[in-house]
Amino acid sequence: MPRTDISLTSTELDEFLGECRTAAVAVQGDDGWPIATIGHISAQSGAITIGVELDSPIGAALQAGAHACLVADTWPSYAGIRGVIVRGQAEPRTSAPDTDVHLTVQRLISFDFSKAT
Amino acid sequence: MAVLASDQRDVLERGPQHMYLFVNTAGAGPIGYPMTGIFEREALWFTTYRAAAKVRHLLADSRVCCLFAPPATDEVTDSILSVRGHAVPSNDTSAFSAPRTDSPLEVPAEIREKVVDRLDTGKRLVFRMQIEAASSLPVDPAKEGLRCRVPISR
Repeated sequence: MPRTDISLTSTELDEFLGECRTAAVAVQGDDGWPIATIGHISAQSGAITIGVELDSPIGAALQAGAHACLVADTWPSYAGIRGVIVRGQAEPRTSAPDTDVHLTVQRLISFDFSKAT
Repeated sequence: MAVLASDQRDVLERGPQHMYLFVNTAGAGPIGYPMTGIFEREALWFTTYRAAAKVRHLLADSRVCCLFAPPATDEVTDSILSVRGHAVPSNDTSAFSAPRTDSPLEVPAEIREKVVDRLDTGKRLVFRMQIEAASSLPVDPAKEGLRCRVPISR
């Protein structure tokens, strides 16, 4: 039996990210362990911007072009679980005036448990 | 010195917790998964399908970082708990075998029964993570001096 597609549509994804205030962001630290923190996000049309402490290991890794992963989800109820997982590689010195790092997205996974029932 | 400070222990002892589980992948940085973690007997326990990609990643590299944060739609007004340690498979399924009354998220009975069944039949695997380090991370937007833009499209 084919699996039910529980991913968010583009419109749902925009709506969801527009409601989000924070996301978790992770990179691999200098010692090889995954390290993560929470940053505030803002949504624009077709993109989000996440803030990270500049002088932190994660900030330094992003400026150095690390692979990174962002995760944001909500769980008001079991059926209400929705979220997104984004993986990509950071590229410093983007031409956008209000950003310092650009994440080239390699994979995006989204989920909406209400679609599973 | 204890790994967990009393306030950090309080967070973990609230019952089954939503957490972001980050694991390393081969050559492509970490990947994160929203999970439920249960702190019992001085360890963090979680379960997932044996065929899940995260199992493959964990068996290759058991180093794990877990964040305990509120839902993404909530404003973070306090610090969040981060713990790390090695997560290894365990045959001990007891943390998941009985219905919980202390879970902040009400999981439908059919889902709980399915988890127990999948554990019994070996389709799900339990991981035990010994917490080796913990830190309370301040979350302050005023200090977020680096802006990272992420294009989003399906």
